[in-house]
Amino acid sequence: MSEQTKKRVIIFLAVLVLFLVYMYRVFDLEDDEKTSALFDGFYSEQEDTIDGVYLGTSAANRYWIPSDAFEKYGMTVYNLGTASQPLVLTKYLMKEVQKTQDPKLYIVELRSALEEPDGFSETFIRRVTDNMKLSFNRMDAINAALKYASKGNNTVTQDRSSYYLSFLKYHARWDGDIDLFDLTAIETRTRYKGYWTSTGKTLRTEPQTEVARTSAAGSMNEYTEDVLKDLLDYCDSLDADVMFVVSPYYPDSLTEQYVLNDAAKIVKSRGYPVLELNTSEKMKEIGLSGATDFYNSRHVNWYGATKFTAYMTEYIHKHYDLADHRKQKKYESWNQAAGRLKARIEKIKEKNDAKQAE
Amino acid sequence: MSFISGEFLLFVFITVSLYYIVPRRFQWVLLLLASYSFYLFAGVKPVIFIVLTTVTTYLAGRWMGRFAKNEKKKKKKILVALLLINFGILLLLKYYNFIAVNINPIFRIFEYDVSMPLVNMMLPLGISFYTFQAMGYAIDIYRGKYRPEKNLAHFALFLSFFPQVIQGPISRYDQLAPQLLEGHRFDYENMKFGIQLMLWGFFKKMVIADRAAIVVNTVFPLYYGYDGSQIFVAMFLYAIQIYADFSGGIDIARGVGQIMGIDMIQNFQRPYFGTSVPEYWRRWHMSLTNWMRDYVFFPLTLSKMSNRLGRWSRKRFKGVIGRQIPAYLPTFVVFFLIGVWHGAGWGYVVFGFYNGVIIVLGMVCQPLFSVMNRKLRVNEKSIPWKVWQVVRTFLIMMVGKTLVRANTVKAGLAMTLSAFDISSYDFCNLPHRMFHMGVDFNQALILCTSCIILFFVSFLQENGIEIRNTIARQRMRWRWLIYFLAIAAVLVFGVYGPGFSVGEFIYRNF
Repeated sequence: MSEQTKKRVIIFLAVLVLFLVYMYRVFDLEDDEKTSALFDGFYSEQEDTIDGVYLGTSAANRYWIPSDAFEKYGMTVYNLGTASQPLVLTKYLMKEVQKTQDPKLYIVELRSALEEPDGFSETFIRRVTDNMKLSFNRMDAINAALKYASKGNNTVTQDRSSYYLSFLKYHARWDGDIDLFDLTAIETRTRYKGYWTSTGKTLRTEPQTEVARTSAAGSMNEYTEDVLKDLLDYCDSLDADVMFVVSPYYPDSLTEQYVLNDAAKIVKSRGYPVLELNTSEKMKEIGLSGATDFYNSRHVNWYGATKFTAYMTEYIHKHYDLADHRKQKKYESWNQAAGRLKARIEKIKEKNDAKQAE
Repeated sequence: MSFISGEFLLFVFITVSLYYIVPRRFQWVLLLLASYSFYLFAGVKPVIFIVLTTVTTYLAGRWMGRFAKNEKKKKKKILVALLLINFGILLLLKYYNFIAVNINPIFRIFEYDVSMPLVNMMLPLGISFYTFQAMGYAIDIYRGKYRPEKNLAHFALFLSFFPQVIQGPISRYDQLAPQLLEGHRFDYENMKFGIQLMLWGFFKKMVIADRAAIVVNTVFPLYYGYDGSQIFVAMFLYAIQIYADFSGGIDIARGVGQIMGIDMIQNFQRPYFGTSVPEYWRRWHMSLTNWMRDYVFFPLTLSKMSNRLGRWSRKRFKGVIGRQIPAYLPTFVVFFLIGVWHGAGWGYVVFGFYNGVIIVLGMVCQPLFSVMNRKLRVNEKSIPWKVWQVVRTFLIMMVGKTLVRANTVKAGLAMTLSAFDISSYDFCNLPHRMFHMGVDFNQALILCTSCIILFFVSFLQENGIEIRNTIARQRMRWRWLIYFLAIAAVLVFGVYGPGFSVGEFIYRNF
């Protein structure tokens, strides 16, 4: 092979790799929750600038407003909550965080303890793992999630390859799900440090009627309990504080509360603090009103989120020693996030007003 | 390990890399190790069968090699024993249950209190291919075509060479073995052309065959719910599917071989451009057809019985028929064997007879057709006539394949009647119904476009244009554009992976 041919082959292979990366990005799924933007935003954070990470389901990313906490005390607690985030993935997300950050505090929202392998969904897994960078940790996360899924009656495909290499699944998006923006392969990043917003929901108010509440504990699903215990074992090995939260909502049944109470009991028995905010008294203390602060029975709206965040911020400030970064230039993006979120809320208000006027 | 898998690509990458790293005199050892490793992916048990065929054929070959040319009787005994052992294994593993299912009712009719039990037997990977390849070698040794292989490991490589072991081609020892055993230097052209051939194979298999399969799998089992036009489309697509699938796999196998400097024989030569059924069979699965020609057809036509039949028929019948009668029986036998070689089922048996009948009828009626054409002043060299012949042959083969693919032969016949009965066509809302066959508009568009590409490429090849050489002569930017488009087409439009539904990711209110 001549030198010129060798050069051409190398250039061809280099272009091919770029082409494949481009294809991977084009067909990468941006779900309606914008989860990839959340992860891309997290990965783009400067190293060792995050004090804490908030993990969990939509009961995390609809509740915790990181920029509010930053404005108040200068703490950087990133929200890595994703819709229906499986508890089994929490450990791996913690490991993922540690690759670039050295958080002093992990906050784990406990509503994911309600999950069971029965009815478990591939979407719950993919929403997290598809957006993690390719790594052995990601493979471990996939394996653990599929193992958990295999315990129950559900439609989760056990074909691991399409989880490891999501293109195997998403290439089929060519049939009606690819738009011009996808073709640009532009990486979008969350602008609010993980707080989730939606034009239709963030400012929507749906009055809630009080439900029966209980402090009695039932028993959580045995497989989910194993997952929780495994997570607690992992937390024992961390050189960081971990706290658990049960955020306020209006549960459909007492059964859910039994399970959450049981999960809280297990966590407390291992010596970790659990903020059980899902009681009428605590909701009053936070200032949450069923009449104005929820967009549905399971989620607070922005008004509720600001109150919840204010309460949590005070709690964290009181119990954990997180530095104040407000005057540090390195943290400018956190200041910007606060401004952007305000602007976004204003925009949603305008849109809603315009809609009402119509 | 399927050709359409990441594991296979990784396996090929590792094998090819090592192939050019190890000294050339050890390359064949590497190929043998790789081939048996590849085979082991299917399990340990199948390896026992390929080893058995390898050892028995090797020993029989060596044994036959000891006898002089004139000691044919002794050699024949060894050959017959070998054929019985190996075809016996094939018969047992592949056809036992089919025979049992069909013979048990006969026992009951004659009130015999016996029944052949059905047995759950595994079918070793590529057993039909390597058995025929091994037996071809043994017959050649018997005939004294070449000397038997002395080295068992060399012979084992010839039978197990991994690109061909799944679906052929059925190679000949004198063509393949020397290439496997001689060392090969890295050759950029071979590498380039081999990868291109693999890519073309992936395109045929993943973009065309597997997409056509969606329609076929939707319509064939429930054909009675579809009108004639839909059944015709499904039958047409099955003919396309089976060609694209089989020839695509062969292209991948030949591409892998070419990367390592090993030129495997052609197995397809654009069969749907055949102008008659015999010509179609000279172009389709050529390695099997040639095997049947050399090891079944010729021995039968050259046998003493055939000679006696020939003398008798020439006396009784004048002209072409008198000369052709001795060929009728071997033709039937060959096509019966070709039919059942493909699988155990009445569909395959009928398919074999169907081809045999059509070819024999063609031979019988040839003089009549010639007279008709002369009287009707048909220009047999004109393009429209050739097109008609191609279309006619395609339709005949399409019907034959339907008989195999349909749930039962009866269902295949019913489908054929419906497809060729215009009165069964429901022309109301035709476009709408066309997309109720398992594929939506976009999928149908991709299927049509890719079939047109396949036709266009085949047409150019049929006219002597070598596509890869033609591309190689283009400017670099055009070449690269073609390569990237081909890669993108396979990656994006290929049917693989778990599938995607937009609705999956609509947020659940958890």
